[in-house]
Amino acid sequence: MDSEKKFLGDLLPGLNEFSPGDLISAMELKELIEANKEILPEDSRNIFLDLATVFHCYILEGENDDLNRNFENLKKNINDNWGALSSAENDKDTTDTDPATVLIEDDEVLNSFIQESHDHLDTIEDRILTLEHDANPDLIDDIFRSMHTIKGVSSFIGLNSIKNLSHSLESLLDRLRTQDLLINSDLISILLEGTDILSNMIKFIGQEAEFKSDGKHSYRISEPVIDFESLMNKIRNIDNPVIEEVIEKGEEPTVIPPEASMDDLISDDMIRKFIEESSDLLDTAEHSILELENKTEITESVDHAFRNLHTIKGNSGFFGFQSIEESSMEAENLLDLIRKGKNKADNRSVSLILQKIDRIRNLMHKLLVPASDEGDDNYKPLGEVLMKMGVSQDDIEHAASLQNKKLGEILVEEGIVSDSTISKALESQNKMVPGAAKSSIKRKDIRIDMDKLDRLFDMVGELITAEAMVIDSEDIAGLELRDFNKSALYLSKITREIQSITMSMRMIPLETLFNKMKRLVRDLSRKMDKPIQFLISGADTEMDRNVIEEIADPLVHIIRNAIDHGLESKEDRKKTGKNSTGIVDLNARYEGNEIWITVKDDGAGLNTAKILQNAISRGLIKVDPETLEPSDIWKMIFEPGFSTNDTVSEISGRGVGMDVVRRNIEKLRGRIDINSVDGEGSEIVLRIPLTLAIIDAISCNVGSMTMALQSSDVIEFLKPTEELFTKTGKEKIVINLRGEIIPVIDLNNFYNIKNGRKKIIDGVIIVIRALGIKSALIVDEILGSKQMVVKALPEMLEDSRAVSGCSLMGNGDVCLIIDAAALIKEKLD
Amino acid sequence: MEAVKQMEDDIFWVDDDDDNQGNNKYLLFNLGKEVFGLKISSIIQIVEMQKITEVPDMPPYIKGVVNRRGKVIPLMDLRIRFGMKEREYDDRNCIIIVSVKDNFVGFIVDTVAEVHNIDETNIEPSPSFKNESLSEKYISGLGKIDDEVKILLNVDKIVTDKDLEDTADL
Repeated sequence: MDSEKKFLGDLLPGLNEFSPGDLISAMELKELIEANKEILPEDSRNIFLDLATVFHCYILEGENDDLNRNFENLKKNINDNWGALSSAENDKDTTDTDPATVLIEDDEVLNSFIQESHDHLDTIEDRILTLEHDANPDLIDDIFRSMHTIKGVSSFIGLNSIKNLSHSLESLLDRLRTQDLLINSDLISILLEGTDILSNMIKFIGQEAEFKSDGKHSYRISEPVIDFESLMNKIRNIDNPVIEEVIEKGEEPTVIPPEASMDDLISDDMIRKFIEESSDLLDTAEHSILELENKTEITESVDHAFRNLHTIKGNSGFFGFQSIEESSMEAENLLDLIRKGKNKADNRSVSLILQKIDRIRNLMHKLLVPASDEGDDNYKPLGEVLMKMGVSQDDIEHAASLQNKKLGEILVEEGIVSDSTISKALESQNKMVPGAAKSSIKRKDIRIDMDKLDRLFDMVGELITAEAMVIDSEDIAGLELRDFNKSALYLSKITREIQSITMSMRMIPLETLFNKMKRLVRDLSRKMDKPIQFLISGADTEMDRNVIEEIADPLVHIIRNAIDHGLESKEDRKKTGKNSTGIVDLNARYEGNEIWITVKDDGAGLNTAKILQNAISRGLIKVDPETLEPSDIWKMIFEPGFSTNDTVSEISGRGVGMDVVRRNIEKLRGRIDINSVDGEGSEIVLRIPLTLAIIDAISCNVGSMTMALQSSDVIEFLKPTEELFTKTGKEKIVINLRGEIIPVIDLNNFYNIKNGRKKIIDGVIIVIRALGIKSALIVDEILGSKQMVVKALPEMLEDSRAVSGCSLMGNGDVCLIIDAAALIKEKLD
Repeated sequence: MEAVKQMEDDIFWVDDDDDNQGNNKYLLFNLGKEVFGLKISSIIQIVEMQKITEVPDMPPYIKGVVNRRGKVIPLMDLRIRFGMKEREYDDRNCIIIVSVKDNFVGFIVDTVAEVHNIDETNIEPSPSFKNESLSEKYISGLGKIDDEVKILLNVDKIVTDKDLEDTADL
């Protein structure tokens, strides 16, 4: 209880003084809550976590009206409940402020809803942004469909606010589709705002569900308190009475009458999904109905079946499958009668409903066959496409008669059309293929629990170690084993392949992350009135999922910094003869063993003098400033608390951000490069190793320990000779390597090994470089070079200096991996 | 002793079905002349002594790590942890691997003796003396088997208690 009291004592003053632009406080408060979430009583924990999420949004997205409202609600709530610092348990339920509490009987449904909605919202946002400069009807349809799915499922689960909001947004999109409204920037903002609110609500629900589920099968969740009334007003005020009508219809899911445009809207993929989904729904509905006969308390089962059938009705209406719609409506009506107590749930009515269900099932079954052909309508043979582009029909028919090659190739060979025409035609043909066009990316994937993947990943690591144990076994060393060696080679090949597949399973393209940045740039550009052209390239570069999570924050900070500090104001740019639209270029690419993510702007560049002056006044510089290279000075911006901005803007200038950048990147064993040209712009490169889990390493003996250095840190090996060394002080030795003076670190000394070798001269020198500093390590013996699977050190051993992890050697020994940067930091100034 | 030998070679998985019984079962082991007991439910495995990889910068009672089926497990010498005299390892030494808050830790002990049932009624709280010796700080109770008294240990405290690090140097 005391710890809770203390936490509240810490939190409340900060909370009440908090103003939304204050990112430092937001971060502090968020961390405070997260550090203390364990001590909070379960019934009130959520409200604090909600608050943490709001802070997180402030940090990521900056201020906006809905966040502010949300924040004020939470603040009031917390102050009401805990304001008097009454540390006594406050049993008051917080549900009274929640719009709806929902009984969740099936985790799976909710979880998949959350996951799916999340994906949907991500794509929706991207597409809305594209919509702004490309009012493609396909895009609108895509967004509409995604929104419709969210609406459908949320209404099925009973999440009313989500349903209402998505319904309004859907109606809005419908009007766009029918060209009742035209796209403009206000409309886009409304759509974006709506998407934001939806994704916040879903995020809240996801968190809540996680806490409440806790292995239970059924539990209640409450929808978050998010006031989107003003957004709803905006939607309504987009001048048309039509929308009012739709809203008044209320409960009915939108049944869009099948019209000409519907054909484009429905792909066979969707129909298949509909059928799969509906079959599941039917199965559970049937189950509930069968329960009716033997149960006294039937309301729940009736409701359940009713909901399922209602969903089927709604969906089939959407697809235009009238007979299914009718049958489900009939079944629904029967259930409604039972629900209202007008009919008894006797044998007769149950059989009637079951009949209807069977009928729906049959109808769906029939659908499956023609459905598979339907989607192909949009796909046109290449010949037809080429004809439209002006290639004569005769030529194509001639080519078609040769047909054993690809039509395009033949036409090119015969000199009838040029290569580029074909590729253009193929491109437009591809756009017609459902699923191939950019606007409707459908992945062939299944969802796998991350835990399982991680476990698989660990197991593969163990497999590789075990394989090495067998192949390098001392029992067979030196034996002539031709057959064995052949099999061993084969085995190695397979394990490498498994390893690379497993690694690739965790790799996802940077696209999602980069798309999020689009939004950030758009918002910042508007807020600061700096027109920006945002260029993205290399979004298909793949990275480990865990790594992507780690670089999301740094990327936000860097881009924010580039826009806030890097790019000049419109007026200043004009004065210096630049285009008034600034350019921010975000690029990702493979570079050897690393992925380089570059953020480049064409702004004023880093102000070296100012940074230096600032660093000196903050006492960050300990050497003679004259000796510093510009790149060293630029790196100062990553020091904690550093800021060159004289005034603190609400976006940056408090010196929190860039420090986070460095911390996160170092955690990934990555590096940061900075380039800057005065007046022309600056460039920040994040260099992230391809994988965290497997490294190329040089192993060596130090005393009785086996240690390893990352190969990329190692420059060369040397056999020590007396004349190489010069003693410069007690325990201070340097070597003269071809004229370069390099400090020596004797690992035996460093790790206080008593029973090791006595003299430096008996060891081996490994010259390493980290943090731009060279250093000569003395080890006892070099063992070899190999790939190592990195494992974290057990918690108890984290105090060990300059050891970043460990790995298992072929013979089962544990090998400690030296963190060269930490070693140099520890030993040298 | 035969039964114990078998355990040393084989993995010793705690039987979940036997929860009630497991709760009263203790593994007894020796450090010098004294007999200590660890609750079976906290024990993952008992293995024979093997090659230990040293880890630098550790307090003296952390002997290093071993690799056990791909898991890297830190080892704690209970003799040193309890302020007893260090002794060179021989093939009678055993490593008892326990699980503490999802982390595995291995205890190096002189010999493993046997598994014994000790009913709760036969366990008494340790009398608190003013000047506790190190090992006494980690006692969860005193178990009586016939006429003998076994010292039952609190695994959590042994592993997580930081105070000891200061006193261990004395």
